[in-house]
Amino acid sequence: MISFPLSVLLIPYAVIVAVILFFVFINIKNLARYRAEDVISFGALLIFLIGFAILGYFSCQYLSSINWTEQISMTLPSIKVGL
Amino acid sequence: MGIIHLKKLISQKGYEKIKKVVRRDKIVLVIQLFYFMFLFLAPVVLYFLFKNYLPIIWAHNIWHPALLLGISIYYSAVWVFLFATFLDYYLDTWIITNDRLLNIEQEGVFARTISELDLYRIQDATSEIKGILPSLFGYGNVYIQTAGEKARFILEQVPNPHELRKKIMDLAEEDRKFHKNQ
Repeated sequence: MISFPLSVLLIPYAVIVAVILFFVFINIKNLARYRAEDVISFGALLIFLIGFAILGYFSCQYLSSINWTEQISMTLPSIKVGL
Repeated sequence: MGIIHLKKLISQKGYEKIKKVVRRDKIVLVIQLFYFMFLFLAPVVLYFLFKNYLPIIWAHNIWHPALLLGISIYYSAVWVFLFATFLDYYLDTWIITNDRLLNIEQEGVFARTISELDLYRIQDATSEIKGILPSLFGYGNVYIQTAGEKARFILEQVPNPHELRKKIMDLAEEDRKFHKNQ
């Protein structure tokens, strides 16, 4: 039987969020590089960032209610080795 | 890296003037936005389908946080891909000047291609409206064939392709006259 804190789940989450943020950065860079003066691109960027901020806010709200220090126990299947 | 403006891309020749800036038809973007609407609504549909199981999941010490993390990632990813789709639409542009045809194409997130051809080299152009939605909304492709090149220049999903083909051919004719006189 092994036990680990629930916060272990946050490790893969953080990796995926980092990848998503990388894509956000690349997209904004592409937009800024080729259409910086455009009103439509500015509006789209603003909507995108507001949406992303809302997503981040709700993620924080819901995830902060969880006790991440809670220990989780898992029972490993027993392996019997015999000749 | 500095900012590249469209005007800088085409203002290399003194006599050159922009005649038309073409993008894919807006309806193409709207159709793609509908797909994303389905992706946004999919978890809501799943919520109603599995409503009875939710109390069990909510009470579970692993499934509850895992589900919340999953939803957070799902919506973030969909939102980013929605933005990338908009960029793919918005950054794909064809600029027709009195001298050249420029194709500025955003291919996914990491690739951007800029190609151009001289109008006087255009041999023929074909426009097509093919399919239910293109026929309904009047968008289609324009294929441009130049002398001595196997590859065709394609303006994809542009509004009023027949009119655009005519305009390109008229400009090509004018450009040929200009080059003959030189």
